[in-house]
Amino acid sequence: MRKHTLFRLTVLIALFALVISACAGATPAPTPKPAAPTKEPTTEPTEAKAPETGGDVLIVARSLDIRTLDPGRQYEITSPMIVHAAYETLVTFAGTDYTKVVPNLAERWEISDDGLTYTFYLRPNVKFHTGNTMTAKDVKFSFERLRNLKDNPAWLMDVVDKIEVVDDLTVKITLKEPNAAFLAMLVSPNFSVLDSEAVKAHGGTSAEDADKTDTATEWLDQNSAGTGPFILKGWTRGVEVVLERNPDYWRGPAKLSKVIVKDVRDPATQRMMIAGGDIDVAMNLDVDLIQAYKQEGGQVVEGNTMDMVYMAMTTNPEISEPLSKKEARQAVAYAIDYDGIINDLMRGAAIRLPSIIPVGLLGTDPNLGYPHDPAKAKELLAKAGYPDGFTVKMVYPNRTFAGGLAAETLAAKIQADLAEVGIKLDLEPREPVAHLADYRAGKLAMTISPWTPDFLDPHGWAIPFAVKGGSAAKRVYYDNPKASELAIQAGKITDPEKRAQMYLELQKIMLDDAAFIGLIQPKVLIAVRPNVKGYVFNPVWWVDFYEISKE
Amino acid sequence: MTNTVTSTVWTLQRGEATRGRVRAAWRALRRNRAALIGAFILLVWFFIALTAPYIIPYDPDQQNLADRLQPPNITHWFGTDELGRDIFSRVLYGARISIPIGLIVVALSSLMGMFVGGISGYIGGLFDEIVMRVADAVLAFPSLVLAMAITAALGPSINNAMLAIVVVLWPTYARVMRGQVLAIKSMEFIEAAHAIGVPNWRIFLRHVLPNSYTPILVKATLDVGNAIIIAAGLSFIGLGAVPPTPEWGAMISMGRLKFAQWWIATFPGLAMFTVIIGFNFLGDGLRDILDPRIRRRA
Amino acid sequence: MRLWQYILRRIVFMVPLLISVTLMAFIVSHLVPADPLGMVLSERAMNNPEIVQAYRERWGLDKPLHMQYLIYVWNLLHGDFGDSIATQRPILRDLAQFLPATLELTLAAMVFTIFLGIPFGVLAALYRDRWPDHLTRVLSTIGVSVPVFWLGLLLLNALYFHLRLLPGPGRLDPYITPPPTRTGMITVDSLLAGDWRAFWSALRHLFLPALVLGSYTMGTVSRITRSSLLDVLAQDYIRTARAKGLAEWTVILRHALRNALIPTVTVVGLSFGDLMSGAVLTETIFSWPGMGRYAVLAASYLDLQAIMGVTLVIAFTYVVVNLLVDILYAIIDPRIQVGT
Repeated sequence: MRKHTLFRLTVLIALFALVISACAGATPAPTPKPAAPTKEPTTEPTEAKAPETGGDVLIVARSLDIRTLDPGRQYEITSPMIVHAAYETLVTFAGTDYTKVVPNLAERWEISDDGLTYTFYLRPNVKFHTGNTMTAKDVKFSFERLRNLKDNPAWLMDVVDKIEVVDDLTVKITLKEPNAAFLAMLVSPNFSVLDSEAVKAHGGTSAEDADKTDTATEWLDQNSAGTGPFILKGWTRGVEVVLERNPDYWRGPAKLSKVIVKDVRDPATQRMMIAGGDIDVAMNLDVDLIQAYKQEGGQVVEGNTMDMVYMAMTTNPEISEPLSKKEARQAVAYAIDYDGIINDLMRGAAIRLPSIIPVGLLGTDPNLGYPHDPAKAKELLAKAGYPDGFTVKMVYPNRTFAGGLAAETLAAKIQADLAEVGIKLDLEPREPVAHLADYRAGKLAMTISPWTPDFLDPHGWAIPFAVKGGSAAKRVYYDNPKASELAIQAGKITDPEKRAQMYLELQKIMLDDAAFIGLIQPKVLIAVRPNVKGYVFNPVWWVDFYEISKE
Repeated sequence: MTNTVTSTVWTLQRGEATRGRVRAAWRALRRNRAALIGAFILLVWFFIALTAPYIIPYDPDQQNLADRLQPPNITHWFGTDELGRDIFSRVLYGARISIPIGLIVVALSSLMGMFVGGISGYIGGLFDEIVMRVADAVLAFPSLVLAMAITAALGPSINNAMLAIVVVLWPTYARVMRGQVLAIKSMEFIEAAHAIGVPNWRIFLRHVLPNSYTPILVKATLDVGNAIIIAAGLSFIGLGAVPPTPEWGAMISMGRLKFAQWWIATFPGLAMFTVIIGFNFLGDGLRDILDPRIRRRA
Repeated sequence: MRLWQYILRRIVFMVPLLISVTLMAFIVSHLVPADPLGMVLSERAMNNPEIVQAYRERWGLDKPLHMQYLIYVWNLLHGDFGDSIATQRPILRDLAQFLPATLELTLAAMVFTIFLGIPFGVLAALYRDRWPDHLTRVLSTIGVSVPVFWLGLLLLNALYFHLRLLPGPGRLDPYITPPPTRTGMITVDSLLAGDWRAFWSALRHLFLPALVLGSYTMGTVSRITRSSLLDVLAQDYIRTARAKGLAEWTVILRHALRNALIPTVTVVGLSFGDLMSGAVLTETIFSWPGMGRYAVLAASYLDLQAIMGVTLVIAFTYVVVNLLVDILYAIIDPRIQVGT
């Protein structure tokens, strides 16, 4: 009897130990750090005393979608904000002018006459966070690693043939064919220059088989190997990213000593946090919340995204007989109440997207698009042979577009607009994955879809939308040799004025064909506490923390 | 999860159901206040579900952006949502979605459970062993987590969510049924019936079913509420009903981030709560009445 | 059956059980035409066959289906859950980060369940058919009927947004630096680090989600406590004890409650599964970075292996807890033989 009880107890204890050890085994295995008081950040006590955010510490709240902070792999919406703070690229944009590329890590560059060879002369004595000096071999390493990781952004390297180190401060990049957008592509945080020694020391490689052998990502998720004004101090998934000032930054140290980006999903929570002084910047407030914040005397920073929402209509009679007629598509374009979408649906938080290239880029004109003209639409319908209109199915993805516009709402609005001219829409919501699959396969007669920029040059839109077989064009069987030719040519020449002309012409042709109709280009509204100065919105990296100071 | 405990209790008892007892139960039900309240709530909701298209003031999917986010008022009793849709109409119309989900899911899973469990108990052997292991496997999971995994794998939709819930719910019914069959099989009069050539299905209808309907009926009543909650939970995390379906869980999810517009999430939740409490009151009442062991306690 | 045999049998059964579930999930998921690559890769990357190929290889999608499954199970048996497409790192690491948050929430809810549920049940039994009993019954029915995600929203709206009595979603106030991770449960970690401010903040953040999560199980526990205490109070030995002239409270606490708690233990143990289920929804409302939110994220990426990882870990925890309950049961009540 006694023996029995003892046995039971032993088993119980053993099992308990098993559970405990299972739990213990589950906690991050690599470094179960013992308490190391020396490692505690020194700013903590001062911060702890004041719930109001500290003098030169910026706390940002935003819904984060970061999957990695490795510049060679990151391709999400919010990761460029962090990568841009810790890393730098050869060239960049100055302020909000996205039509001209300016020097950054490269002091100057030369482009060969055939437009194939780019020679970059690097800024001397630029130090990485590790203390190593940045040289041409780091550029070669970073770009080749980007290509060979074969991760999401690797296609950016598709245009590059080879990279040669001429000397410590000169690097020569040869393209496969002339590409006018190449400099604009180099601005992308994916082309960040990494400290090759540090990355290699943590398992990184730029070899052909880097997709299988590179193991540096885990380290790069928590540390930075860049030259940027801030040093990555850690990223806790679903919680926060911490950046600290780089005291040796080549342009001089930043005014902020520390930046903490908190992962806060709920706009309402962000709103309360900024009202209570817990945070300095709230990035996901909707229009209602922003208006309330403004009324309380808050600072609101506005900016135009380069995101867009557009409508696509098939030109293939097998998919839709009526829509394959150009006049019918044009009728649809005239029937849509664009101002209504922007003012009622978005409550002003968007601008009109004229065609398929966002306003603010080279060769765009905000007044290019279709006016809302139902009478003209009816006329065109009659011309197309459908005086009483027709019925067509519009499939849309079940999601919310940039700017907080639910696809469902937009679809309903378009349905109502088209009904006025006699076109009846059958709406069919689909899961985004399923929608994309069918859209890619060219099975949809009509749809609305978003597009986010990869780099800020019209080339990034012209090729997929205008060229026959382009990733967007093929979905609606768009085939206009004139448009194809223009898009390809405009991507090869380097004279900006001439390119701008060609892109304008291209957009006019595409508007006439009406296979794609631009709908909106959302604005961004950011709540910033009044004592924060120098906050400027950027469509790629959201904000440059280096420019910000607190009073 | 308490149901597992009580159902094992039932499998052990061998109550004989007679018409007299059914009548007695009906009388007891009329005296059981909670059950009556539950039945009344449910009657009201069934009425709403049946007549919703005729009594709702607005089309549940009709957007009216001029009237968006209005608090409850004379024209919109429960206010309007982000797209200016009338929440009162959507909540009432939602009864046509959530209540059938609960009923269909429970009907399917109890039928499936009874069928599989009955066969399993009758045949025995390897088949029985396999079925019971599968049932164990399903019961080893917290129900919502398993349903979530299945729906995530199949892709979000109401039908997939319902399928997932059926998968989660059938095993308890199978166990109850199997227990009854095993108990009956060993009785002498069944062997006698066999000997004189009474067909199996008659034995099943005459002797097996009447003995198992009590626990299954009670469990099914309580499970309707469970099924509605799980389905709404799946919709809430985006794995069930897709917009614009006025499913209550999806509606609550829409109001999740609107703290200032409390009415968006409150009314669909209230509707769901009353339906579930109706089923729970009725189920508890049925249990008190039909299960003598528990009745003694209460 | 002897206890150790029983335990052994339960453990041995668990393995095929878990594997059969993975098989089911695997087959089901491949009936769906959607390609997870479409969720992860951008438009441009999809046009580059090299990237697509590298991705297929990286996530093992280039192999025939049965091989994919065999590899998965083989790795699983070696304690490797595979890599998550959604987070691009080993699922085990993800689980290690997110499980403690869920456990913290679940255990805190368990505390509410036990320390509110049992006293309520006792009160109801002692004041049978009087107002405390009715009140408890009504409350417990409400507790089991109210959808946790709705209750959570209502309370959050009232106590946080309108009255500002409690902090909002999340595990810590935003201006507090999290204590160094040791157990992953912030309340415990902050205590270990001696950081009282973080501890207080974590506790305040934990209160509401735990209360909401525990509401369902509180109802079931108070019900079962009530009915089993009533059963026990009707027994002969209680009458004997009373006849001996023992004080009523001694009778109840010393004699009745101890025996009445046996069924309660079972229900508390079984309710652990309900808590884990509810945690998935509660986490969504309270922005609690736990397994539930991870699973929802994984689902949006069609990241099946991550979802299976979550499911398996929860099932494993559930089975272990049930086993512990059975053993506890056997220890409290020597009359009961497990496995019957």
